[in-house]
Amino acid sequence: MPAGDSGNLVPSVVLSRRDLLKRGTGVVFSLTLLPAAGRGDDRLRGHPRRGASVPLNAYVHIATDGTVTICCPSAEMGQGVLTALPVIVAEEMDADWSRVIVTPSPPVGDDYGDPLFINLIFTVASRSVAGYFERLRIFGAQARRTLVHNAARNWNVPVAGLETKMGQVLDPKSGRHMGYGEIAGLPGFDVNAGQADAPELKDPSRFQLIGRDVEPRNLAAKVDGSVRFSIDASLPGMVHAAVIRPPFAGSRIKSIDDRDARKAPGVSGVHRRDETVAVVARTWFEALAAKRAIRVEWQHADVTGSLDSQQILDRSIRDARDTAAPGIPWDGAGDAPGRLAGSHRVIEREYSTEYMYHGGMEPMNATVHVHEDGSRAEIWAGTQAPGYTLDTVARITGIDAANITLHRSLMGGAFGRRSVHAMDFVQDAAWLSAQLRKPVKVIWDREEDFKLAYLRPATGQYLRAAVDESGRVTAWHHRVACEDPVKAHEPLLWEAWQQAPLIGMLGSEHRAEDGSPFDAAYDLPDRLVEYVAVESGIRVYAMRGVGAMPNKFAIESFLDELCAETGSDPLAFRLQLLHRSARAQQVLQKAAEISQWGRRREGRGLGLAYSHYAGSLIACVAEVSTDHRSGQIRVHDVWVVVDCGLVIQPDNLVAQLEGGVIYGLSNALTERITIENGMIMQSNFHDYQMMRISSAPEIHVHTVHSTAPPTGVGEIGTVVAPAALANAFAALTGRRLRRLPFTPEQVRAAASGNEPSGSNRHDPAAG
Amino acid sequence: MIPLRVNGRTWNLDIAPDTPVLWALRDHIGLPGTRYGCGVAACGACTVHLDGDAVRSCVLPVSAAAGKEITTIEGLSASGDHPLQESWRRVRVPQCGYCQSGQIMSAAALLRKHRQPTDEQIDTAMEGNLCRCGTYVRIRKAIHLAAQMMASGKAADE
Repeated sequence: MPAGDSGNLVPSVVLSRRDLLKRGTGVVFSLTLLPAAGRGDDRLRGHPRRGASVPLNAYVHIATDGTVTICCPSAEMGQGVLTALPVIVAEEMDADWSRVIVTPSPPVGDDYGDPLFINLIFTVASRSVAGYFERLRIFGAQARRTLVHNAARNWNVPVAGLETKMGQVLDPKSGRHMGYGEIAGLPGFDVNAGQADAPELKDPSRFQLIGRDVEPRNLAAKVDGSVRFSIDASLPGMVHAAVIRPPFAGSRIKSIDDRDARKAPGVSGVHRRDETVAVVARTWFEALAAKRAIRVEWQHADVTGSLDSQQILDRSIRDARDTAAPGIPWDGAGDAPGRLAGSHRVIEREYSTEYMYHGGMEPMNATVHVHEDGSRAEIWAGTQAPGYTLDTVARITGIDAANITLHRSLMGGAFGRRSVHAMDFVQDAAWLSAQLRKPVKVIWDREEDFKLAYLRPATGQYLRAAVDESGRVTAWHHRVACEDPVKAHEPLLWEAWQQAPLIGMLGSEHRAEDGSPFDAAYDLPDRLVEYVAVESGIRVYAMRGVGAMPNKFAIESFLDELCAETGSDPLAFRLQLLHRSARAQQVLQKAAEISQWGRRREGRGLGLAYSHYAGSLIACVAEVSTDHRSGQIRVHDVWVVVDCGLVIQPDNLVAQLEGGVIYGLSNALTERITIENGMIMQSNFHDYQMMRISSAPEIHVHTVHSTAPPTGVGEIGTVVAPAALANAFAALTGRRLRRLPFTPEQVRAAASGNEPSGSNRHDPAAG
Repeated sequence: MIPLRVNGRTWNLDIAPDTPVLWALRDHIGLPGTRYGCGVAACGACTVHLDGDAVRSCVLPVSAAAGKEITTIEGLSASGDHPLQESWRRVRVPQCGYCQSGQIMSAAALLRKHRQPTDEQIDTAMEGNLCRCGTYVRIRKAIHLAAQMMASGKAADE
């Protein structure tokens, strides 16, 4: 694997405009190929479409009544893509937004996939707006051009003099105008008209929709209860199933007693596939009640059956610290080891973060209907990776993916959980329906989901830096010990990414790994960042903020510790490290300004953190107080300043940052999965605590005006908030929290000066 | 047969008496706006009103609801125009939307008790409703706005 400054590890495949056009004009979908909209989609909410619908390209259909249907490739899970992406198409088309219908795109197809993810649709990594922006503009402009050329031909006037506005083509000379629907209905309408050249894109100063809030899709339905998720699927003849999953990966069923369950009311059968037992019943609660009457004796596997999260974490911290055992270089430049060896003053610290649970509110579920003759199947599922979903059901049912229809549902939260390659939450409905040949809805009760959850990997982190007399960092060494989910659970991406541990290591590098401007990273010319592989067998996966959350927690905490050691100001210190980037300096200074960074607060501490992520730049200030007796930290206010380039939907951007900050604070304050004897010890929201309303701070979001291309905001708040919180606690108490989450025990110990062992065992700060 | 009164209509259900109201609503009556999140009254996604009080329908057996009036998100207002639904739209509270039926039902019960709730009263009443998207800041704002709208609406009536 390459280390150093020579380019990104992430393959950056940029489609040329010409490529897109070539493919775009060639693809003509008939409407029947478009997947049916979810029942909660606005297609069924008072927007009846009349008249024939004409496909202009892979993204746009126009009905002769003027209705414009725009398809959205990314999956909606609360982040607002179902609004933001179609807005980009509509903008370039000059469509009348009130006449726009949004429908999910087909689940596969080159026009819809993301080059970073081997051209699959993969709604992850805060990439939707950034990744599709240019493509959607081109498809929108192309649609506009087709309409203008057809109008010109009909009027027998030159194209050059025509204009478009609000779903109409206008001829200013004659005062004539024609609606898009009318044009699409013209005899001899030519879908290829005007497609010889690349379309011109709008000058951003003329944007009407981009940068202005439109009503989020499905807003009304989410407020009156009529919105539908896959868990709400209801089909004629449908049966329901509840399942028992093994207590951990690798355990085997030794014996099973299901006599009572089979006799239970409403139950039609108990089925088994490998180590999963399913009860099928008339309603889901009957299936659940019967499931509880089943006794299973498990045979525990040797390796996974002895897993212990505390041991793994301790070992990770130890391995991170053991610099004698080289890790895998992830990022490097200059000669960090040499400079560290020759330095008079080296400061080192250890940090750790624990396993966590995604916690989307809609329990994992799917409905599959294998048709009676076995030739076709339909799926209702909320998925971040529709291609994976199709492949999984095809493999299990033996039906060709071309004969499977996926109804892409809205998701009641996802946070990475619904992109898992195995698509485990879809498998049960697939095999049951393949057996029963009728629609089967499978819901995992919350306890089943906790049991074999895919977790945010725990990390052990070791950092050391050489500092000179003026307090400047002259060498940087960072080792992250964690289990990278890509290798363990994403076989296709592991190969496509040349075996880069991208999910675990993201955010630990000081270069533009994430597509950020290169100079937005700290200027650390002599540095070494290493991946220390942990291979425990615990199921891990990407969770909001991926590795960047734990890694930035460690980096940003360490920077403040260096400041404390050298008597530097955290703001000035970061500004100096970011001297190359005016944009980075701007977000930091603005955050200092709106949080009144220099103003002391009685009984409160302020903490600062900075990050770039998914191309965007963010500075975050948290204001906290603490109750030493209870060990509770109270976050009062959080200020974030973000530079994410051009803003598509301003209010939604604020919402994403609010939600992202809450998610990060929740991770940092209370979230911890523990594993004993291979088993996850938490089972529901009473013993896995996520942030509730009384702990939610006021969040102040400021956006820097920018005309740079748009970049991601879905996770960046999560990435930066925990570090700001830890730094605020240290500013308040003079004590450092190095183990995340900051449990009351740790807070009390830190506040009383008895820090838990291992958090800072050797500090050679003996300059 | 168990009679269940929901949104002003009576349903006679052939159903086990220990069936939670949540599943009677979702699978028997066809009102899926009330959501399943945890099944143990720990997340609030299933919140409905029982004679006007907010309850967690996932742990409320239908036998305990007999003879009482259940109101779900579908029955909160005739056409989605309860002041809370209006304020939820104006503040643009929902992200994924999954927990919002429960949030609104809890808030509606709160406003019945406290017409102008303080932040502390909001926190107490809403503490049982999880939102993983993190819409809490906006939920607070929307409850205050609805209280204002109700107060000024009432003033206009008088």
